[in-house]
Amino acid sequence: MKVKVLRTLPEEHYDEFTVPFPTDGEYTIMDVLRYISENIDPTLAYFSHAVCNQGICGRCAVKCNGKVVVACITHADCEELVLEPKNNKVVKDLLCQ
Amino acid sequence: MGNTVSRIIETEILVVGGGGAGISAAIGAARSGAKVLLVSKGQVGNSGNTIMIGGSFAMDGHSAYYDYGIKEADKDFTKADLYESIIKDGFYINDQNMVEQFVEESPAIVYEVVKWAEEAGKPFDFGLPATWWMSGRMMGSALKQGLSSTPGIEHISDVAVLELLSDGDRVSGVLALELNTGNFVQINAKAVVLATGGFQPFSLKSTNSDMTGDGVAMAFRAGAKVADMEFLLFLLTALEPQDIVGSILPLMLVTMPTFKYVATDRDGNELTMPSQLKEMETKSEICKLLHMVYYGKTVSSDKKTDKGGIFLKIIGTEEETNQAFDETVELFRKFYKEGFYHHNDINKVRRMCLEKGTWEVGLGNEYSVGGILVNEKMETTVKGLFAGGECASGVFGANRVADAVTEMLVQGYRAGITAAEYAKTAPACGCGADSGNAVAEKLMKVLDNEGGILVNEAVRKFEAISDKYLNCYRDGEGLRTAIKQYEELEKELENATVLCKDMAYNTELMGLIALKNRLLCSKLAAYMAEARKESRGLHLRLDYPDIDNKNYLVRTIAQKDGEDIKLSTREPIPGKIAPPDYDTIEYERYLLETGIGLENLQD
Repeated sequence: MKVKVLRTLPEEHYDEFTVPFPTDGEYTIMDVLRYISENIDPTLAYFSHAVCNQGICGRCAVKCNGKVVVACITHADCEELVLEPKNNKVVKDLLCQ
Repeated sequence: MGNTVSRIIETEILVVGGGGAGISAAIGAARSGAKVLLVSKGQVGNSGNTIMIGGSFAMDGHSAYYDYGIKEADKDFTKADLYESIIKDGFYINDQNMVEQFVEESPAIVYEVVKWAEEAGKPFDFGLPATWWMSGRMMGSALKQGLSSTPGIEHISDVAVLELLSDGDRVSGVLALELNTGNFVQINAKAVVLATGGFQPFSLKSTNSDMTGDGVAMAFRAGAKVADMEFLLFLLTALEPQDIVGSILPLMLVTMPTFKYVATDRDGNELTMPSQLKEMETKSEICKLLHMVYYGKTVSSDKKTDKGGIFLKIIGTEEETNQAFDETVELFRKFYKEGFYHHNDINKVRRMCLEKGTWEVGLGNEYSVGGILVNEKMETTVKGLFAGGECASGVFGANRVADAVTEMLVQGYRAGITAAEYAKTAPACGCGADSGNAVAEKLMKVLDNEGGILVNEAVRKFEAISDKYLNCYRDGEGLRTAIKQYEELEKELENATVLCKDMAYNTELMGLIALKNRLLCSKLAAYMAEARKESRGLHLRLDYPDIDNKNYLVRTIAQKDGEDIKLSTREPIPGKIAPPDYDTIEYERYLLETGIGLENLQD
């Protein structure tokens, strides 16, 4: 799948990544973010320091294709994802206050 | 520039950790009259393994019935029963002063937390003997209720404590990093309470990602003794479907009597356990240990499945299996969306099991029994430093069956009280900004590294070593290899390279700090596991399969000695239960003949 991510450094822009996940509804948006961070671009900022990964804390929320969702329980089930911060209080990339 | 301390905060008691142990400690200290600052790497009341609870906590039934008027409780389950079962389940190396503290002090704080949950409008669900069922979110709400109704506590979230600062021979503050700004903050305190949880060395995760052993590693670096770190608790964890990998839902299912299964290896060979023990699977959390003992060998061999686990092969009728899933749905219906465990779709798993007839599961590391050495007042071996909950050690010996939830509350609360008592006579902190600056500048140097190992690559390397050598079953040669490879990786990390140079929410830098702490804890665990040439509790050795009381009825302790690790042992602190009078015993015979397995699961 193609994943466009809003980045904030050095200035606001979109980076595009190709992630080799099937779109059959098994992988989550958190899996996608982790894949990008671990395999393509480790500088990506997204909520990563206290992740429950089971939809408990709700802190990994991002905007996916225009809709705010909890990343660890939302399936990445389409060919193109656009990921943006959940609100306008952006700390860096997808991470908000 | 953010490379020096941006501000200094002064407090009397600093509590580190935003889960149950930290919040209890803050409340205990504030009620004792101290000014308290609670700092959490995640969000206070919404982080750590506290929110991963999908289960229960308890007190003894006798106290519930007579002291708290709970007429549904089983009054025949007494403090003495609980005490004895903790020792037996701990394979007799518990410090019995710690067990006494757990048993005697837990009813009051357990009852209080139950009341906080009611005040927060999210009451827990009562079960026998005197157990309350709840979700981690509900526990978080109850704790936040207790926190907000206690004056004298300030708290800040998303601040990672990096290192303890010392003033002479006592701990008197910390250097911390505000994650969102990248600013360093020094916090001076008369006493520091660590309530930072356990450490998780492996690639399969059932715990919160903040289980990185920060407190244990910091305490060790500050000269405190740590103990029993070879004892790691694993439990059945989902390897499929992909969207619930890491969930402990399989454990919930196998404790249902109607979920009839046999475990098999990759080739379909059955992994059996004696029927007497199999019967305990649905009654006691000792099932976690039984799964490690009887399934762990396969997971630690080339007979494991492609995803690194085993298969649960369903042998019940469709009706029985449906009933097991129905009962699981019913158990959790009161506090999760119907049909879900956390956000795991139970019915999706049901469909998969009925269709495939198997469920691929692994053994995921849930809990660290060992940690910082403390006494029954939660004093560490370093002045000014206290610890409680999973980051501490001693109460559960070689294996935990009783509640870690109760442990975090009862030890955290006591640690807070003791720290406040200490602070009444302790002098003010003498740390200037220099102490914090030195630590901050050392960390900042990482940003100058070039061409070294990347953090993600180092994490993969580290977890591969742990998966291979520190898993359920170990042997001497593997453990020595692990130590060597951990130490080589430690050296490699000196030149670890962080590509992002901006300090605000620097994912790589946070990952590196966490990795160094996980690595230190795992290295200590490997040293202790190598030194314990027997099997006991959660420490299973292929090359030493028996329990050896003659030589190893002891706790293993580590302390920093310059750049080296000094290992020692000592006998557990005695108490009401006499140690066993036999020298060696086959592990399985111990399981079969010594009456282990506190019955703490619902019928």
